[in-house]
Amino acid sequence: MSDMLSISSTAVSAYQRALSTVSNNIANVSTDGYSRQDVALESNSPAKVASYYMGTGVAFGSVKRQFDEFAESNLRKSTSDLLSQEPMVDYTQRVMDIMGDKSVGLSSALDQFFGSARSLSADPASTVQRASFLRSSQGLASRFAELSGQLDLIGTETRQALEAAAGQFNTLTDQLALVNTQLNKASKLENQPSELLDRRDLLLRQMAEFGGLKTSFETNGVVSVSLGATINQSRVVDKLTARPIGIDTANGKFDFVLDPYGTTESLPGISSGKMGGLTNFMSQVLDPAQKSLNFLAKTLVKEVNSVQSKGIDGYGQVGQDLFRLDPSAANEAAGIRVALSDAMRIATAAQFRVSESVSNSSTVQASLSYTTSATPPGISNPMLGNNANPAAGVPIKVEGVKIFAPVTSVAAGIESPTFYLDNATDAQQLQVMTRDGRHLLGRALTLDEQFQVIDPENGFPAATTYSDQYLNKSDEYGYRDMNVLYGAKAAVQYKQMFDKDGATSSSVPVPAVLETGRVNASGSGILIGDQDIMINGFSLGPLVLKGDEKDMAQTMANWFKTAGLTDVSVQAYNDITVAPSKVQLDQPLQINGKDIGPFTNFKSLVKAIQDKSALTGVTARVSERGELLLENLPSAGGLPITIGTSDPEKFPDNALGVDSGTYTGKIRMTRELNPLSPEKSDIRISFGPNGTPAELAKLGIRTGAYIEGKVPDDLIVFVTGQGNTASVAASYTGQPVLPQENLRQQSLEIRFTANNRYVILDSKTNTELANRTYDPTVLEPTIDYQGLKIKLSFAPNVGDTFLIDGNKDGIGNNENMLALADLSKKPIIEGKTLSNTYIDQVNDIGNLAQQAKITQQALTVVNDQAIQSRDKASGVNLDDEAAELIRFQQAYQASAKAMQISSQLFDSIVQLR
Amino acid sequence: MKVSTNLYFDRASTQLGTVQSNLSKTQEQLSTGKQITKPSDEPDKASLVTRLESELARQESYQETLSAVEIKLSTQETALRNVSDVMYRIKELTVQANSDTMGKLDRESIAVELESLRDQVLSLANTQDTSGNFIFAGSRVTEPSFAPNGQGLIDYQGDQSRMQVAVGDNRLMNVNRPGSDAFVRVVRDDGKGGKVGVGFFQALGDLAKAVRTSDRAAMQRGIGEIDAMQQGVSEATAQVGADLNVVDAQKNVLDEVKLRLKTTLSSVQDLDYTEAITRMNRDQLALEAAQSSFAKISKLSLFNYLN
Repeated sequence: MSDMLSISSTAVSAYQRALSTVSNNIANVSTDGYSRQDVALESNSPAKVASYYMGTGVAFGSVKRQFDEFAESNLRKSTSDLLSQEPMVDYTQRVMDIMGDKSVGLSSALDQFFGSARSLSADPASTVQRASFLRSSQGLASRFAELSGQLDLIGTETRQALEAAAGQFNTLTDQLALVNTQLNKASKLENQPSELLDRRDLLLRQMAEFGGLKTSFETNGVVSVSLGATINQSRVVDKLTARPIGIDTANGKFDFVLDPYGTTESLPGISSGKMGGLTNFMSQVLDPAQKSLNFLAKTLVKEVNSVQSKGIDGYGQVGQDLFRLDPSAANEAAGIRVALSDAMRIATAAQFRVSESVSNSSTVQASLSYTTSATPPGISNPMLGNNANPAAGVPIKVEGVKIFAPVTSVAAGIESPTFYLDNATDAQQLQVMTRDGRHLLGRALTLDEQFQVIDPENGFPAATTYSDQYLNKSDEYGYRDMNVLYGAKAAVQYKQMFDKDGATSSSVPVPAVLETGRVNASGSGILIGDQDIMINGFSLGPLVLKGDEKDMAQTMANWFKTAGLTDVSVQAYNDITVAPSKVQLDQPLQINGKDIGPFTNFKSLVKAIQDKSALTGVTARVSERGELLLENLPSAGGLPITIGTSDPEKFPDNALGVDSGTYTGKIRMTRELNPLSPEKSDIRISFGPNGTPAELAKLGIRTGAYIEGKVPDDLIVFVTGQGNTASVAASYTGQPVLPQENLRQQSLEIRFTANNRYVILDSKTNTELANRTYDPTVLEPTIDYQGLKIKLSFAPNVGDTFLIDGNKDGIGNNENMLALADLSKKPIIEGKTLSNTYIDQVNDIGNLAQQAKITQQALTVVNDQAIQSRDKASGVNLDDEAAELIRFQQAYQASAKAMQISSQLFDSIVQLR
Repeated sequence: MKVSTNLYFDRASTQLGTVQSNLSKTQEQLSTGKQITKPSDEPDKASLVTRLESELARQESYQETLSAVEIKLSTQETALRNVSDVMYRIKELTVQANSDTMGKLDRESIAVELESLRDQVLSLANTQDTSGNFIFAGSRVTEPSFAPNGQGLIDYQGDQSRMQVAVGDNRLMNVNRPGSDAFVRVVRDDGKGGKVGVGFFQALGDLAKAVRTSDRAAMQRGIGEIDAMQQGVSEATAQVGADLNVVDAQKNVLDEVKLRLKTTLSSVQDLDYTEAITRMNRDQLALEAAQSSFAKISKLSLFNYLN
């Protein structure tokens, strides 16, 4: 209908709605997320009057939400990016302020520590300086702990912030899911209430503050959100359902996961937003800072302690650790503790000292340095076990041009080492020598052997000379008063006796007994040369065999007796020990060609042997250990015992289970105890000038190199003489000692005995440890001995003496403190000093902070732009609204006027009467 | 371009806040006199500051060491100068005693003085520093440097530790002088065609004995030995003097190094007041302008004209 009233009435109602829309805009001017609403007015469809159309008024079309999808998504992205920088800037600045601060940072504490070290080096005897150095050390340790604590605090705060952020994010996703449910009620976007869409966009924007989002919109406005790299991964809102995120802290990790209480899946790297920023901060700033600090702590402790261990403290002892790491602390930096409480324990002095003798005729000044070496293995040859059994020996071959073969070296500190030489060929000898060419055991080397053995290639210092001064000599004639023996020895044993109070009585000596193995000789002629073998220092004449000896052991025993020792009794005997388990009662037995038996059990076997003893000369008994012991009757002496069966073809095994054959006799020597010095009543068999181990082996005696007590210097063991059957076995106790400790216990003397020769003496025993030549024309002669390097200002006069000791009372020495102070300048961490490593770390963090700050500034501009462009589309401007208000008010008023006019027109018609 | 009312207010408050925080920063700088009030202000420069401060601390610790060394060296110098004086007197007396005109009694009285002079030199050789350590004993500082040995002869008891300390990054200098370097041995024939060293105080004692017993040959030998001993003392004095010169030189070096470091440090972290005050004035003006313009502009609204 196209009449004025209806037209104006549609207009009035349309403008009324338009005015409410404007009012709504004004009302929501400060509402967060509100999008301005615009009114769309449409003309009504015209009415056809005759052949023309008449307008029928206006209709209120719709309320349009002013909205730019691109601006909106742009804003979300720029918000995420901007907020990711915020934690980087804020927290990194805090780390920076802590680490770079003069009173909390490490730099000043390190300066203080090394400054104190320098002060102490200027006056090492001062207890005041020592105490102040200890205080600085404590200061440094607590600074490490303080710094580590501060960083930990930031770490904790960051983690809490992340957990809180995850919680807030979860609230938002829940809300978004609810909004989605509402939106899902309509099928078209146009039918959605604009406030609901505002709510959706606001939620999305708030979520973007926490992390970078990927979104996907349905046609009805329902949105799905993902935190992953693409929209299809890691959806936190999947249409109508929300999945919470959580943090997995298992095993010290700190990782985001999706749906921590349902089907958990890992959430790889949230790159931006607040959560991304916090994770970046942790991985790029905090973790490296903490790691670097801990590494610094570890390195400091290691380096300082290593310097300490090379010095001598105020009590003359080797320096103890200054710092230790408390293993119960959370990390190294937090766990640094000062291990010393006594300032005198600080090792300021050098380990060694050289002094010039007061009676030197020259004014040569000596200085000394020491190079630390690690403790060597006790026995350098890994094949050589601690087992004296011949079967455990290592085979030694001396072949070709070589006239010696090395066996092993023995480190100082090893106790009572004994080396046994078995199966030696005629001329082979076992030799023991110091590293400086002092021959201790064996047989004097020929010139050829000296030339081959004493060679810098074999570890001998240059200009070493050979000496057999101490060869095979003991006590006051021996090397460092050692007790050594080359040959065989039986020592006095001690038996512990119990009394009514237990083992409190003194032990009782038991006479030394030397039992040989089975003698091994035959034929006629000279078996052992004149004066080749000595017993207890007495030479024996030649042992000549006639060729018809039945009892070889007795012959040898008689020969031993020719030494004329009244306190040593020598007897020949023979015995065979049979383990009961070996006995085979079903086999026959012949002893010395006489059948034994019958027997049915072990006991009757013993009885059967005993019964025939008159015929065989062999009796049997059960020993204390339960073994079957076959012995020659005393009248039989050391005659051989033959074991076999009547018919070796039929019965290859005998009842005793031992190899069939002839067992030669043995010799037993017993020395009476000397009542005055029972401990010295041992039996020693040694070699004369031409004696060889091969000769001793014929007597059934095993050759050994015996050293009593602790080995004072590193020794080398080798075999000389050609042959390829020999083997060497060893037994020893004790542990090698630290070379520097061993050296410090000694007091050495370097004496110039000729203008081109010097000796190194052990002052305690006056032993010549080395005798070397040197070149007096060298400007500054140096002397090396076991890591010590002595430098002389010029060539000394003959008779000049220099003393070296372990610096036990040199409290005023500062060498080690200088080394510690030097640590401040030493590039110990990847070519950087401790202090610079720290400063560089601060610098790195500073650069990150600076970079984050710049990025933040740039992103702020981008974000401002995004806010502005969203605002341009959706923002409410009050002036605009006022204009709209006026516009719609005027239209409303005009329409109302039209209505009034139409009413007046109607009235005019009505009044026509 | 359309700006929504909301955004306009937001912007205005942000801008006001920025200017205000700039002003407060400048104020903080002005009150501390530092361009960098905390490391995070200029993270890139903070490490440079730390490095320079650390350098400076090290130079200062060298200076402390140097002062300690100077005290030690002066103590040595004083002792050695006194010894030198006494040695002249000893020489004088010996020459006098060696004269033919001297009688036995005269020589005996000279011997008494010689002995007391020897004791004086001995007490100087056993000089202790403020913490009671013997300065001429090498590193064995807790025991007197010269004391009677087992045979009752006065011998050097210290060791020959010649210690050095760092007084610069690449500068080590001597701090002590073993007594045996200053109170040198004299060389005598051992009667077997060889040479043997005889201790300083032993030689002085022998001399006094020679004068007392009028042993002309020994006196003659003693005069020669005194020359050698004087030589030793004056050499040591000269070395201490040289070391003290090194101390002076090194002090200057350290002062210069410190000055250079401080200049650099100052240029990095100290505030340029002119610049800061100008900046403050500028910011102040900006703040005032922002405040007044905001007050004025925010009043403008179309609604004011609707009635």
